Amino acid sequence: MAKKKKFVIGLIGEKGAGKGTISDYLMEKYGAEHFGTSRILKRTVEDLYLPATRNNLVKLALMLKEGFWPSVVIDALIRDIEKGKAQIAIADGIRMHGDVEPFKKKYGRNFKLIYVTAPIRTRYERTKKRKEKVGEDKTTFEEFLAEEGQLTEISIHEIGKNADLTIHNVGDVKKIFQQIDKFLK
Amino acid sequence: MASGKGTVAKYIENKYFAKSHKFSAPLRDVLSRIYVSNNRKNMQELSFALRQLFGQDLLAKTISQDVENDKNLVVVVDGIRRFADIKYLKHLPGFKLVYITADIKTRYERMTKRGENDDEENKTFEQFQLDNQAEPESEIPRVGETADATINNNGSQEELYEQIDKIINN
Repeated sequence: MAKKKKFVIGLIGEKGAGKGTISDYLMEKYGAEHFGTSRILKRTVEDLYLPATRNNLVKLALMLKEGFWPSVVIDALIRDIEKGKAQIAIADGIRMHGDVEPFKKKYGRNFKLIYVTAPIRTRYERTKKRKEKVGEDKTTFEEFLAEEGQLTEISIHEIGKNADLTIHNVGDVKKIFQQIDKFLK
Repeated sequence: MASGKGTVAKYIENKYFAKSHKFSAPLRDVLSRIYVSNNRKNMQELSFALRQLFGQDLLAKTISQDVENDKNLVVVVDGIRRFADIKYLKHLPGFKLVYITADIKTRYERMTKRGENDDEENKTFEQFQLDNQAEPESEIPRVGETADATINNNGSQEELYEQIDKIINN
């Protein structure tokens, strides 16, 4: 019997936009399985005793793309997804030009990209609270703004513009979840 | 290459309850995470790129940290090739450098048999000689000259084990 084709939800969003909240909801409500490029990037950086800063993760990703082939990280993510059991998979950590195409090629209409975004002030406050990456809680707003101007951050916004669904992640969470439910129907 | 480092490491692990660490371990991990073949070329290119990005002594630092975190009494570090590799290790108390060597023909035959990396089985003797002259293999004899002990692994396994016991019990 042929395996049923998976449904893959790609998540893209600036830092602090709240991808985690959306991802948690998709897991709880739809039994989706979460896959992220951080399994490759963060663990490698940690193995080398380097601080898992956003900058180091991006540097590593760019090096792997350049050293092997442009979609090497995304291809690995797709292999992980294929190994997973769930019918719905979340592909987290899409951020660079060329990251979306391998998903479209593999899953066609069974791939949907969700862009999660929020105003910059809100995002700044969130990153200060969560401490997900090293040094995040000590960043000043000026530093945060400067990081936003980096090419790898700008590409998030550019790719996000062409997403299948854009979520403005501010205000009532319930309304946001309703928006997702409607989209996935 | 194929001088018998792995055999020595295994023997010390079993007899002296040691743990061994390889320089190539983080490289192998990265490659397996991205599903890229762990042939010698990819490992060397990855090593080169990582060191360029995060500092020439990155892997030397990593392994030294791994050894420090290791709770075992005897710890083996397998795969030292350059002086830069021992930059941090040599400062750890109790560090001893052991140079293991063997004739090139013997080493070639061993390598084709083991197939540790993806491309080893079908390598020609000529290619093997070239590999030995290229970076990073070329620096091994000079690093070996500064070793605390040297093992000539051309003979039997018993002779090899005897030499190891002597070094450890010294």
